[in-house]
Amino acid sequence: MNGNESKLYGALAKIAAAADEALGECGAGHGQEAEGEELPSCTPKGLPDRLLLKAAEVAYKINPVNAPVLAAFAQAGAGFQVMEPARIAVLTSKYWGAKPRKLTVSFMESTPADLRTRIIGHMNAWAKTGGVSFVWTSGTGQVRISRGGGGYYSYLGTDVLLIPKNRQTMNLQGFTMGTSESEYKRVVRHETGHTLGCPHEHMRKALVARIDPPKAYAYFLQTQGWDKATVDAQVLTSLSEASLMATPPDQTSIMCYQLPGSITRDGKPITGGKDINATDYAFIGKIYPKAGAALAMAGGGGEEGVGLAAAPVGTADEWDESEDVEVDYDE
Amino acid sequence: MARLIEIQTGQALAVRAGDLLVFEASGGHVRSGAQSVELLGAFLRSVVGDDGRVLSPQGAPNAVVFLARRPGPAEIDVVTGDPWHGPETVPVRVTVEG
Repeated sequence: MNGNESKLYGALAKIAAAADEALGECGAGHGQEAEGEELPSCTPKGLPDRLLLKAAEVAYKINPVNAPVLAAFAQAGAGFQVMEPARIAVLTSKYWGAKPRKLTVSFMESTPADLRTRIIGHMNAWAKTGGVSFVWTSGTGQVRISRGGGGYYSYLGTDVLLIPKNRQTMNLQGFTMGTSESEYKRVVRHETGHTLGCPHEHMRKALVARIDPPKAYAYFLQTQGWDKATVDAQVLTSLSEASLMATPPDQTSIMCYQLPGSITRDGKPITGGKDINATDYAFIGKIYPKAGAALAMAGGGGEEGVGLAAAPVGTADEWDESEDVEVDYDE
Repeated sequence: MARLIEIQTGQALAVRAGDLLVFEASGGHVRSGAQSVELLGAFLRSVVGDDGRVLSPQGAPNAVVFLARRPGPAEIDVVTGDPWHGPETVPVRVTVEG
């Protein structure tokens, strides 16, 4: 553990102590039950909204790719969660950080202005609630899109900054102005979710558990010619929950692909998402807050019902602002 | 000398024994002529990042590789499109020349 991490742990320990004090009525009863006495149950509490951004900023400043810090918290089960329950995941090692930012976008092939505008417009659908937006550049963008062969893919989150500048970071094979709007929503918004750091939702542990491996091997061998190792990698390997900022998986998230009922244990399909859903919007708005978003969200809901009120979120604890713990970290 | 042949589309190909055929596709099968053409597998194109790590995108396999082994005809299927949403199977006739 380096000095900055020690400071962060120390600061968070102070915050935890303050939270325990504030939760005094259940603090003494952690894990204990007096005979004949019904103790109030303790539920996990979140930080006040005003501190969520600060907590994320601290983690980000300690380590811009912050996986070692956040993953360590998750593994330690320390109860330190930047996020309360949400339904899509962001890999902490690919997180762009809480500070609002614009990512530049360029195209590998000559692309007409109307097509550029349409693609980037769909990428910016996430910016309705999130603080990361995309803007075209005539130079070499941080996000580089190809419409050539190779299917649909994107590198994850901050990994895009490591991709050689002569390579695309996102591939949208065959997208033209003639492509249907539903495909733009399903594919461009999905791939942009990867750019924001969201992995495939169908690789969440609870969804992988629904898949019957022998059926999956047989299905993908027949339809794709994939060997077992490929099926394992594509479908049957769940993400480490410790590496995620998320809670319950969501089969209607835009980050979830559809899988047929013929390969699930219960015979029901994993439906997959066709567009960014309300929970996706709420989650991205929390992990990538817009400037001043906390105030707007505290008011409940947002545009078109999108916002905190649209998603099941945990209860944030509250205390007087004067009791907030100042975190000392090196710039 | 054996060749690495990158193929985007095509319904008929004449290649030489030893050639490696790389299709931009997510999957594939050998329908007939397995003694002439072997499916080596489906791969995910990846790059070496600026930090020296091998970085792979989130996505399905996007390169399917066949090896032309011996002279003779073969029929292969190449699966393109989105594997999760309406993949398409394209038949390709391959003639492996001596």
